Amino acid sequence: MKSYALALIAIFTAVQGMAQVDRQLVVHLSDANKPFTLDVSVGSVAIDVSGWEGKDVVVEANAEDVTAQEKNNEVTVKAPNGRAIKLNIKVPRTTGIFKLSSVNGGRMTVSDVTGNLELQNHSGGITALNISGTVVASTVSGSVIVSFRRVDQGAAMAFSTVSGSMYITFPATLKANLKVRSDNSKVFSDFELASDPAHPQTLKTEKDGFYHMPADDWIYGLVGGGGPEMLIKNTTGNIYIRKAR
Amino acid sequence: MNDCEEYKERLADWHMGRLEAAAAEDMERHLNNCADCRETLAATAFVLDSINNLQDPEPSVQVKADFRMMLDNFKAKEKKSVFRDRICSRLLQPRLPLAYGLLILFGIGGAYLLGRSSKQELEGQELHAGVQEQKQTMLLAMLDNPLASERIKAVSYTNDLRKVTDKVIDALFTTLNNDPNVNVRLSALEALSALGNHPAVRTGLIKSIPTQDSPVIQLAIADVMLNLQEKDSVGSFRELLKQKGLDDEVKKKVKETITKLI
Repeated sequence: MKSYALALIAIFTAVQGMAQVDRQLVVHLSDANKPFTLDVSVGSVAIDVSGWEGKDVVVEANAEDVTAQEKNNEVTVKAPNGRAIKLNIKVPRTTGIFKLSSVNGGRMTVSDVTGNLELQNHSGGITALNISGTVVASTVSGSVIVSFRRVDQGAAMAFSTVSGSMYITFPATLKANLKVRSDNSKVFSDFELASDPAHPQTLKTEKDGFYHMPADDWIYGLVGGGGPEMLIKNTTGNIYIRKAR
Repeated sequence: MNDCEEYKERLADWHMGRLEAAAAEDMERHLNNCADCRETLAATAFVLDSINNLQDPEPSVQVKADFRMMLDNFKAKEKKSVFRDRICSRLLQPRLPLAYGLLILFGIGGAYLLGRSSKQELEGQELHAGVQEQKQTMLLAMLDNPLASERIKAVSYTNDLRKVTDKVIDALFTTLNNDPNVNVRLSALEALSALGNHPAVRTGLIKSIPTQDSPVIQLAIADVMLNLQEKDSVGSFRELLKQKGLDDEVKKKVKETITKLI
């Protein structure tokens, strides 16, 4: 719990730390009533995307040479490689497809958005908070923190990291086939897990209501009678699969 | 209508008997009352059955005759159930929706098969090839979906196949070796590791080891090889160790893996 709180504080500090704005781009969508796509793929970039009340996509950067192009509701943000860039992007709360990828710019953060999120990082964690929709997130060093307001019924998801804890919070009504593995650490969940007939296993319960499941192998469990596959995997760092309260 | 969306999402699971008893009964009650979902079921069932039955004997005249008999039996059962339902209590209701479901499933699936073969005069073999083609197209199409979530779902469907063809294995390898999303590659790796008894899968996995550039996949493939006790993978792991900028965690794991395998 402590590390969860600390991680959150660290994220908020990082976001507040971006005071310097050298460039602001306001991008109009061709059709604000249709789903949009946000595509950001930059080597060294700390990306922060958040939903806002407006109909435009607003890109703020700490560098002059950042560009944003829009074509048929698809917004592509580009920045030169080779130096650390911070991008602060505001998007409408309507449905969007988010394809964000970075290698070593720091933490990637997305909050208060609706749609399909594909988040790939390498050196740096991933945070996606208050999401309605689907998330597929992967990094190498850093924690993965995801909380859903609503999930797309029937959509498969996957979350992975090598070194970093994982905190994935789903709505209590989740229906999913969980497939979870931590090579060196423990997996906890407060969801009621039924054993998967395709992979019969004994799942142990801890005193505090959390399942404490054996590490170093895949754990299969059905939540809410089962549903699409939710793959959650790391090497080191506890994995918490929580029920939203 | 929202309810229907939820039911439709789970039709495939119901059809494959993966729902819990209570959820399955709930589904059957809903199917009894919802024509729209019954139609979706027929389409879903046809596709799933086509995939699952690919390796079965080629359809023959006998199969068609058997099919008609089966259809008649279901019709008779359904009549009986309706009659019983009228005179008996609600306790017998679960039998009725099931009969309906199966009737529609076989009815529409069968009508499609029979209609197709009589119209186009397809011989059994051609029909078989046609279904195989259809399955292949569908799987490849799903694996080409621009959304990673859909591609993961496509990969997870291959776990449900009773018999996995070389085409499916090839598609999984294409995904493992080329998909731009790490998590899609990871799910393809896990699907392939479940097929470790196919020699072609083992060879393909061994070949794939030095080409992987994501630490997530490199670590996972080491575990897969340990699990399969695949000694022939040692050379590939040694090659991987030469990769520039290899993650420290991966180096450690690969060295451990080599030691455990030799």
